[in-house]
Amino acid sequence: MRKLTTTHLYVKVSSLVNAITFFSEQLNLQVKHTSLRHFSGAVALYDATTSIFLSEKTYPGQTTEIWLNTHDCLEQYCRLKSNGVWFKAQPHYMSAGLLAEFVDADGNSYFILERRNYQD
Amino acid sequence: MRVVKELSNQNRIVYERTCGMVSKVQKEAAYVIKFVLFGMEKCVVNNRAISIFPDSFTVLNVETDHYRVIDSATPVDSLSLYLDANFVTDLNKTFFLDQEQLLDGVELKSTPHFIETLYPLTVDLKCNINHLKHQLLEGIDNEALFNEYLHHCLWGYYKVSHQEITEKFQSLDFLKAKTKKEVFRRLLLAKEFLNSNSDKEVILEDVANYCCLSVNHLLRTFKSAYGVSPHQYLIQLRLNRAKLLLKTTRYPLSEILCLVGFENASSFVRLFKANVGTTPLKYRKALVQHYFFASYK
Repeated sequence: MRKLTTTHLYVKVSSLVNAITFFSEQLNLQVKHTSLRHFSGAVALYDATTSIFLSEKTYPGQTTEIWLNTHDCLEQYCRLKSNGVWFKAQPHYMSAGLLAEFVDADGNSYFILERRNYQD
Repeated sequence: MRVVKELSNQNRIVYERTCGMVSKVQKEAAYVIKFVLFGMEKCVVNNRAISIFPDSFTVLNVETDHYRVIDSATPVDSLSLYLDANFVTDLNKTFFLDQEQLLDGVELKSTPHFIETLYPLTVDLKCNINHLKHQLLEGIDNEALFNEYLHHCLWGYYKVSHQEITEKFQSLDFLKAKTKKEVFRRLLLAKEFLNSNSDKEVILEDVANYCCLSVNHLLRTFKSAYGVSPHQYLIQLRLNRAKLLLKTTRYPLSEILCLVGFENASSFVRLFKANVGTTPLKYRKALVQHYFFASYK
């Protein structure tokens, strides 16, 4: 049996309140405030294995490019677009699959990737 | 079972699952892209009979005469996309014009014209139509989403058409443009014949007669355009169809052999092993294990 892997993505935001609003209302993700010994901020649950840690503080491993997997990129693109999320471009094809890119108020880039197997 | 989704911009999506059907000649005021997701559908287009399998699709222009025949013991899944002329014209412009020309309001001289033949189904098209079918059967009511799928399906067709028509046409070496065009048209007929009759015994003379080329001319020009001989093309097609059936059905090997057009098991296993690197049964077993473990991911 394969090992269950979880992904933790750390993102720095200028305003935690605004980020929580963006993640919960526009991205429709479940967000909860978290105060741990090593982290203070909020955690947005993207899926069963991916969590996005949002904080106004600086932590090691924080990134401005967040890669998220999806099983249907176009469905996600249309759903987020109707929620007012601003996409840099229309979904386009890459060697790994179909990709859509949007940004948050702080300029962090989020890439939604639907992986496709072109080898088959 | 028949599910129809009409969109406000006159685009229409029709999903059908049936064992038998003969539809009358239709003249659609729309461009049509036809996919078969499972099984086989015969389609008569301009008095030419073509068989659409799940690894291929076809396109029809506005007002093209066609009728469909489905006669199968197991249900055939098909998906037809009826695209409004304005929708196709808009995408046609974005495909053929660059950004500057689009901003300058440059118009293309002619209306879009699809080359009505069989095209190979690409991975992207396959994924998009599967998502589209899923949303359709779920009863989702989101026009923007359906139009997005249609846009990507049409874009997928343009990409395949560029590879299969434009690039292959350019690879032919003829002095006269008119001769080149005519020979290419006949090669498309030959490929169509091979695709439609891969489940039967195919003789090279039959292919040559169908496309009105001599056997030698057919062999030479087919290889020049597609890089393989008609026989090699047919074998590859049958092996790919066998792989798909091994992957998506529980049919015994003997039945798959008949369905894809191989005459005896030993030559099938030998060719399959040479091409895929493993025997058909081991291939199926590996896939079962792959999906079993993938479900635990």
